Amino acid sequence: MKTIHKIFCVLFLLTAIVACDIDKFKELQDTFKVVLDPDAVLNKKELVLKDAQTSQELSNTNVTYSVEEAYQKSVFTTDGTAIHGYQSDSPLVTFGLLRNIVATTENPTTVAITLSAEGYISKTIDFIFDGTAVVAEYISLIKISNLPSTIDYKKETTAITDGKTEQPIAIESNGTSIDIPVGTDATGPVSVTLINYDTQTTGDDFNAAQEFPDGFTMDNGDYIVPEGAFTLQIEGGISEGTITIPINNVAAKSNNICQSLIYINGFYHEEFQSGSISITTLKIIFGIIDRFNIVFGCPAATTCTLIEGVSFQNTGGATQYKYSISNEGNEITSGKIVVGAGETITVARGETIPNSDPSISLTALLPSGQEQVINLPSTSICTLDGTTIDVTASQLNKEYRQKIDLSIDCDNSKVALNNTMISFSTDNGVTYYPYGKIQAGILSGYFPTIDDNIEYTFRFNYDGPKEGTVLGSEINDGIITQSDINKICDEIN
Amino acid sequence: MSKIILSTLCLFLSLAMFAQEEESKEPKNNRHAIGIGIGTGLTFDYSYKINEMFYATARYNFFKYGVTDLEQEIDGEIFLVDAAVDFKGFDIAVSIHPFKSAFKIVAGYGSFQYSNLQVDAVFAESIFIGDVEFTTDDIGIISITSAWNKQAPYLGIGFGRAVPKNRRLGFGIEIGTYFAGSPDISLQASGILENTTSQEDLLQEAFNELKYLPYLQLRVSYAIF
Repeated sequence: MKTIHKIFCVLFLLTAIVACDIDKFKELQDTFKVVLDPDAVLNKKELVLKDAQTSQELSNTNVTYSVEEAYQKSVFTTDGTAIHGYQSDSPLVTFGLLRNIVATTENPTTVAITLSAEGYISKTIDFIFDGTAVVAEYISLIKISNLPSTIDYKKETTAITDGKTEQPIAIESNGTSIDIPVGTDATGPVSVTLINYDTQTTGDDFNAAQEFPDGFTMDNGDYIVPEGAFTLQIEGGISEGTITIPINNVAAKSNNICQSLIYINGFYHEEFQSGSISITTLKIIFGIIDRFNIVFGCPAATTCTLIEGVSFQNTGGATQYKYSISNEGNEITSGKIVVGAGETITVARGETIPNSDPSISLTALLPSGQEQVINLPSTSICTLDGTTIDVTASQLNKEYRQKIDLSIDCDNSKVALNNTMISFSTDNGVTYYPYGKIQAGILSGYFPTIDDNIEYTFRFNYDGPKEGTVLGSEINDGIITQSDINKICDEIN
Repeated sequence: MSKIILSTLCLFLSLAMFAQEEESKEPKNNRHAIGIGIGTGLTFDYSYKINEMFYATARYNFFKYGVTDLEQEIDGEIFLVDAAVDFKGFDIAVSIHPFKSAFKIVAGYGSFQYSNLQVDAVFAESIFIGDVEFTTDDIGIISITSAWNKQAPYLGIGFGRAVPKNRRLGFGIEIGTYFAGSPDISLQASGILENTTSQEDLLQEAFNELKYLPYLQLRVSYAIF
């Protein structure tokens, strides 16, 4: 019996050991990594700032970002800096909504952000956060010293004494004027800028509609065929002033339902019939809004609203496209978008456009410098609402990469960049094209073909642009340098 | 510690064998017994004596245990860990006494209602990304679930008859294992830890070794007739 007793004890021990291979779990303690996403935000917008005239990325230009009051504590850069009041001389800035803010396609969050830079016309943009992980936004700023002939820019300033303006301000452009008399109440030094746009002429990287956060669509959904458009930027907290708009300058069109219409986005809307009024003077109380986007013209006779928008699907490598939406040959809006490998991007969702002769065009901008016009099933955008179009650029060669692990080992954790765009350049960083996206620390899928023997500059943005120049064959370990790793790890503590 | 446990088990085993040996002095013919056991969980059972060599047992086992807010260092970070084990199920087993002594070999089949191990881990302290503070709730949670097969063969050895031979009361001990196969591991993570799910393969590899679920039971039985 004693023998059986011993056997039993041995069996017990044996069973316990077999049941749990301790070595495997000890090994797991060393190999298991907690993987952190270093982004403070979701719904990322990756801004690429360009000079509107030269199409080159802005360099050595300090841009200040101002967020509308309601969202000043909601919008941050990926590395956790508030965008409101943020200053950067980088052409690449990535920001998004704090993670606890839920934005969806059905319930998007729209945030107006103003970009100001010395020597450039400041620009207010309505950024729509709709749950898309990351979207590239190409923003062009217009240099005041190099204005296109279609833009008239005038600015006046005055100091204040005892809370009142010292000098009168009177600015006029093509009959449109703003007057602020001396002695007007103000909270600080006053600066008034009047920018008058010729709405019929556009450049490669700007058009008048882009300068208006809501384009030419009114709050009621009507689309104004613009005869004139201007913005007023007023700093100094002025209590009131007078804007004069010459209604008789608005060309009456027999087919239009109004003689003329003045619309100030979200603020003022008035129609004038029969041309009985030759000049209307609007007296507007300032101090509530410091920027006015004013359009005059008439609502389009017929419109179509793109309820679902038009979706572009790309089965090739990530590609940059330029799209343009026009009516009767006049460009309504245009812009650049990036459609990543295997992704679908929807444009013009919810937009109202005139439909007498609406059209859309799409051009792929290829790393070779070539442009490929994408054939669309119809050029009439109104008929494309709700459709998904394969826009894969056939002239862009693609290659499949199984898995490039770009995750970063920091001291206490592993960091995996997520939904982070990578672009590449063949001309030492002058012109960048999309290469792909890091997802959970991994590059995988289809990418534009690169040559093993050519040097490329790769770039991504986290706490400022991170650039590295490597041979195509060294992409596996050359995109993120050690200094990048140190900076990224430092941001997480 | 393990030596103390082992010695205690061996002592109990000796008592169990002694009890069975004492029983043999007053022959009776008990055929049905109920039992309660404790070990790797709590067990209730009913046993039927087929003959001197074979006994059939149906038993219900359950083991539910959890700890909360256990501080653990994982990959250099301090985590608060909640761990819970939940095993419930029925076994049917046949005890074979090859030497017609108290020594037995037990073969059976287990059917688990639950066979889960759940571990949830959260950061113990806030972290900052730039100026943005992530509280432990904001950071997210890492959840590991391990689930074994719902059906598993069982094999064990022990001492003590399922139905006491000559007395109303009997004692026994049994040790064995379920051949449950490798468990399915699910690793889920949320918030800024979401990408930790990429470590699931590593976990699965380690847990692949856990093919055998141990079973230990110290049992008291009562012959009902």
